[in-house]
Amino acid sequence: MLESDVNILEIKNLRKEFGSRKPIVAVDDITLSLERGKTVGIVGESGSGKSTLGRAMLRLIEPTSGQITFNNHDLLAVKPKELRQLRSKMQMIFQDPMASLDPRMSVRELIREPLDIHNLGRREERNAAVEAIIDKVGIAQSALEKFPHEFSGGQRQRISIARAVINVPELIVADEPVSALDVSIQAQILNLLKELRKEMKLSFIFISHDLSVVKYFCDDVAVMYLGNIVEYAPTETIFKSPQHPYTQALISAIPEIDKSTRKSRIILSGDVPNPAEAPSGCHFHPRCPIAVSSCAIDTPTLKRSAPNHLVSCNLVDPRS
Amino acid sequence: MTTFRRILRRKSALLSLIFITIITTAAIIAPLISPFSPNEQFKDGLSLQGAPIAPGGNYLFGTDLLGRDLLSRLIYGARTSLTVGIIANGVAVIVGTTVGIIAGYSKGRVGALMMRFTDLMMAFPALLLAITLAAIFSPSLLIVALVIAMVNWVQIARVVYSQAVSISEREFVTATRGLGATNSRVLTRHILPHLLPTVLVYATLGIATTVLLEATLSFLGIGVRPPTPSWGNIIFENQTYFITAPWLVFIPGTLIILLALSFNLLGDALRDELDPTQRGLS
Repeated sequence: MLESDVNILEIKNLRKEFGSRKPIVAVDDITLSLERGKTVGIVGESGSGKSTLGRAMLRLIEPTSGQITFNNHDLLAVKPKELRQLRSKMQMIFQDPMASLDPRMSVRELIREPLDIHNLGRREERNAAVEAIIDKVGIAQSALEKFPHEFSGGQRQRISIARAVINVPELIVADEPVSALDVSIQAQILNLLKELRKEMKLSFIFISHDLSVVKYFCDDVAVMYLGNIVEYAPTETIFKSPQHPYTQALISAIPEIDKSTRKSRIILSGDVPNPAEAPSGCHFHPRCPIAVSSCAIDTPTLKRSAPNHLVSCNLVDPRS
Repeated sequence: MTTFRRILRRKSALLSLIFITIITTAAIIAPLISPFSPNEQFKDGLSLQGAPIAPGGNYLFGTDLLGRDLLSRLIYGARTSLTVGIIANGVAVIVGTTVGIIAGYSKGRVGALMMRFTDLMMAFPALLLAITLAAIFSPSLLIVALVIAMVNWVQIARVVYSQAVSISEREFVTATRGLGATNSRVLTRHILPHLLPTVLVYATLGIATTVLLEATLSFLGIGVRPPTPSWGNIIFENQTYFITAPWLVFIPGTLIILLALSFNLLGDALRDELDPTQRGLS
């Protein structure tokens, strides 16, 4: 089988710069692939470029360079019309549903919009589809004629999920879908997404800064720092044996309830550097607890340290 | 309940609608209801000293400086003023909104080009432009209206542009594009409805400006040709008599204010009722 049949999404050397005179590199050089039916989590601090990456891979912002292959279509080469048609199979869920739902549209109009855009079915069929999906995401039928501002955050996110899945997409890029919600609601939304993932065989790119959420939801995890992936591994591996010092610090910061499993925290000093003046060599070296002088000069690349484990650190030995 | 019904429940909006309806009806059936011919100069329309007659008596609203019946002139003048107000303003709003929204959404070179042209039009003295245009085309009601529209669309384009820029940056626009929507769908379904409040306010405010601009043009001899009355030129013709015959300025002035106010209040009500987040709050 071809690699492209296994992978629904392949990203090669994707780069996004903002501004032209002194560009800010939000996404530096990302290569990533997503197997059909799998979920890859992308974690990182704010400013690491994870949201930009999420939008660039759907071409909601134009990447500066690189290659994106979705379902065997070269996304950066397709004509605008074809891109619009492809969009029905790749959807995005945003962090703040209040901002991503047009406040002047009723819930019915909002959820029906993907069908209207792609001109699917007759009017009654569209309305029936809306009524079916709204049940599935757990919103009452009586809500259909209401407007987004009349709902709670969790319900709003359910509405935007309904909007994303009504066309039965193949890929969903979820950009911090639960970060704006109460912890108790987060679990409900995550379970809803899990259910839909199973039922519709969805593939997910799941962007989050919350490691425990990622641990619960993702098959693989990519850790981003300043526009680059610094570590990539199956979720279990990342949490059990993180290799990059940044990942180690992130994981040590997860609060543990059980005292016996509590680890000593690695405290990172400082903030994420300004991406307009990224540090030389390894971008992480000014904050790295184990950095040596050569880290300021040598730029590390993603190397395989185990069959499924990629790390970008000068100090981690690649095992052949 | 329909939007229209909800609007009528507001007293201010209801009164405004009644006033606008009365004026419009009067303008349409002017020949039937006006007591005299608007252009006829009556021998008893001026006092022995040659001064206009005060309101009351035979001439309900008095007479103007040439001894013509003011009420009749006002009724016929409503035809001119309403036509100019609605056509000129309508065209200005449509052109201004279209230019502003396209420039604001597309940004880039097209948008920049459109806005520089708008700036150019804005820098050009409005009256000079109107005089030039009116000199090229022979004055008629339609030409006067279009000339006023040519002058007035720029402000609307500017305001709509800045709003459109900020709305296109909002996330629901990105989200809608992400669903695969065409630009024209995003523009008409998602950006235009958010611009509606601004456009409505401008459209209703513009009525008063337009009626007065028409008066200025008539005063300069490039508007509606005398003796055809319009509310604006009634004021201008009679302003020299302001001290001795104040009604000649006050009555048409009040009518202009009331008309503008009515359109304003109606526009406000429409704006609030069309916005689902505001509905039922006031």
